[in-house]
Formats: sequence, structure tokens, C-alpha cells
Amino acid sequence: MSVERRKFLKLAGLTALGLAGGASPRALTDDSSTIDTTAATPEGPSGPLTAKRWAMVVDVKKCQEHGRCDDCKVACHLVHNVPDFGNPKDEIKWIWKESFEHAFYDQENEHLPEELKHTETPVLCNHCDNPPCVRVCPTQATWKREQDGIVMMDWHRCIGCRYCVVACPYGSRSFNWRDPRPHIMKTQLDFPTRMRGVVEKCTFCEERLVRGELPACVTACKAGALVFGDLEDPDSEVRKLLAERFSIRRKPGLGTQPEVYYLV
Amino acid sequence: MLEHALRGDRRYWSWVIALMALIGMGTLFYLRQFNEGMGITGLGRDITWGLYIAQFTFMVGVAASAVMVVLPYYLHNYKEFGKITILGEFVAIGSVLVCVTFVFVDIGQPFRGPNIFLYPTPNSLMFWDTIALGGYLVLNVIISHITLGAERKGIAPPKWIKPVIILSIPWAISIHTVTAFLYAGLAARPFWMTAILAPRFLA
Repeated sequence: MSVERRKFLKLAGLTALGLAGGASPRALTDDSSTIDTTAATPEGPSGPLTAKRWAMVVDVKKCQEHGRCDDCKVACHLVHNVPDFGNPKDEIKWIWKESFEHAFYDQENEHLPEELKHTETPVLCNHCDNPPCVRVCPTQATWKREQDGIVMMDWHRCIGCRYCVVACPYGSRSFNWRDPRPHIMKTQLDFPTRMRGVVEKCTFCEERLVRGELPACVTACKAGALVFGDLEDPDSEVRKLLAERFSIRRKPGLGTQPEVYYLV
Repeated sequence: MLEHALRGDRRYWSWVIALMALIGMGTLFYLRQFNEGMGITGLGRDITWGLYIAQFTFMVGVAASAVMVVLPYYLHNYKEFGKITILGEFVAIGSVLVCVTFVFVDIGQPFRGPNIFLYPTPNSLMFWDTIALGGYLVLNVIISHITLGAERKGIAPPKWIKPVIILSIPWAISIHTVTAFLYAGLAARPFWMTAILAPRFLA
């Protein structure tokens, strides 16, 4: 009797090992991780927008002069089916307004211009050149796109371990703590919804770029405070702005090389 | 050997039933979390890793501590510890299983867990922690299986098991240091970002 049970346990253990072992070599050779998103999407009249390194410049002054508005956040969260749970604990944010002292707490001097002290500035995923979230992800569900530096996210591969949420110094990654679908104001059918238990974040509107459109927040900003362009192109507007005016980035000391610049 | 676990007096069975009731309760609450999402645990934007991961880390420590029982006998030849080495190995197996369970309940899409093996990522320390813990489990299952079998027959364990046991000693240290590296390599968390974290975990 006891021998049979022992044999059974041994066999069961070996079978489980065999299943795990048999599955992994197939996955190693599977190349489906590099999906070409540009292929299947219909192109706009002007063709897709491409760049060697996408970057964003936020003109804090223009944003502040326009007064307190939430247009960028509203537009972004609408087109990307971002839910609103109505409580800060479960909140999911792709772009949002943060007070200057919270966004730049390590660069704040004691005596700042009054208007800067009380200003709010939009913050989003910085699409870092050296993204800590990509380094820690155990499944490569998030990665930096070779061709234009956008930090992408695969919601179907993410296991929801939240290592990336812990690793991101900017709080740019949100976890779906509960089912988001019932909390979406108006579901857009041309963009996927997410399920509970996965991480999501801003993708620099890569789905709009392939249609030849600028990111939703940039289009929505009436003040023209958000400028989007190619950092590698010396004639681009972002490069001109960065050459003309002094800019800062969030937590530069961590070495992540954020690609969202703030003109102060 | 398993039939010994199915024999016992009244007190034994009431203890087993009490533990089963606790496990059943935990399973029911977990099913609720599985259906409604992790939000019901109280975790949220500001606290993304909580009690689950803390417990996981603690149980990694318990698993590694099993080596403290094995080490005097095999490395220092301290004969009095001979009898309890098997116990130490079973403590390690139990703790690693508890660790894996804590990780399982802490991830948002637990059934996608095998993705860690399907898309191996050497740059992620979570991948290495999985390797370290999985390897430690396999080592201890082999060791305890062989040594317990030899103990039962009243003979000395085969010679080839000795190097495996010796390997399990640095491996036990590795499970706790790699778990510490998982936290220590994050620039975003200054409190954890210290080279002393791994020795502190071991101590």
C-alpha cells in the first residue's frame, strides 16, 4: 500500500516537472513577443508619425497661465478607457496634475517664485531612456521599443506582480485593484479595456501615432503647453524649446533619464 | 510512510481538523479576492506590496534557517545534530511551499505565473529569486527523500547525497540574499536601497 502511494507521489511530481520543462523550450523559440503593431493598423491620410526618440516638453508657465484645467487628463482617460473608481486607493492614472513640490520635491528650493510654488503640472510616464520598470519585469510584459524609445506594456502577458509599480520612481504605473470595466465612463470601442490584476500606464499614444495623430493630451491642451516630438531630430520643436529655455526633469539623480522635460 | 500521518488519537485529529478549518477559511477568502480583485486586501496605490510579500520574505528566512540545523552536522561534524537534520530539511520544504503560496495569492493574474518560465528574463531579480527558491525546494525534496528512506531502513545514506547536502548550504544562503537583492536594487525605494540589506536578512 505504502509503496504504491510513494510511487504515485513520485510519478505525480515527475509529471509536473515534465510539463513545466516541456513547455519552456517551445516558448524560448517563440518569437511572438515582437509584435509589429504598425502592420495591422490602418494609416491616416498623412501616414504614421515616426521618430527616433519620442519626447515631451511641458511648458509649466503656459499650463499655469491657462488656469486649473484637467483637459489633458480627461481626454487621455476617455480615449484609453481608464476607469474612475472614485477613491484614491484604487485610482488608475495615465496623466494627472501634481503640485510642483510633489513632482519636483528633490529640486525644490526654499524660496521659489510664488506662482511656481502653487502651480500644478501634468505628470505622466516619463518613457525613460533607462527604465527601471523594464529592468525588473520578470515576464518582459513591459519593454522599451527599439525604434522610438516608447516604454510599452503588454496587458495580456502581465502577471500582476507589481514589481514595476514598486520600481517606478514616478508613480506612473497603476494596478487594476478591481475590475475596471464597470467603472469606465464611456467605453471606446477602438481601444482595449483591461481586466483586474494587471498593470497599465501611458504609452505616449502609440495607437494614435500609427494613425498619424498626436497624443490625446497634446491635442486636448488648449494652452499649447504640451509639445511632442523627436528628440533626435535637431529641427524638431522639442529640440528648439529645450535649446531656448531652461528645463528640468523629475528625479534626475536616479539615472533613469526621463524623456519628459519641464520648462520652468 | 504516509500512513503514519493517518494514525493518531483524539487530540491529534482535533488539531488536524482545526488546522484544516483555518486552511478552508483562507481558501474561501482567497476565492473572494480572486473574484473581486486584490483591492479587497486593502492594498492600493500607496501600498502596492504589503503583508503577503512581508510574509513571503519572512518564510524565506524560515526556509533558509533550516540550514542552521543541517550545517553543524555536515560542516562541523557535530554528531548530536545528526537526527534532526531530516527535520530541518522538512521545515525547509514546508516553508518554501508557504512562500510560493504567498506569492501566488499576491499576484493579480496568478494563472499567468508560468510566464516567468515561458519568457525567462535574466535581467529581472524576480526571475532569479524563482530559480533560487525552486532549486532549494528540489534540493530539499531530494535530500529528505534519500536520508529519510535510509533512516527508515536503518542504513547509512548513500555517499552521493553528501555533495548535494553541502550544495544546499550555500543555496540556503542564496535564497535569502537573492530575496534581499530583489528589494535592494530599486532606486525608487531609498529605504531598501542599501548593500547591507542582504546580510541584514540573513542575520
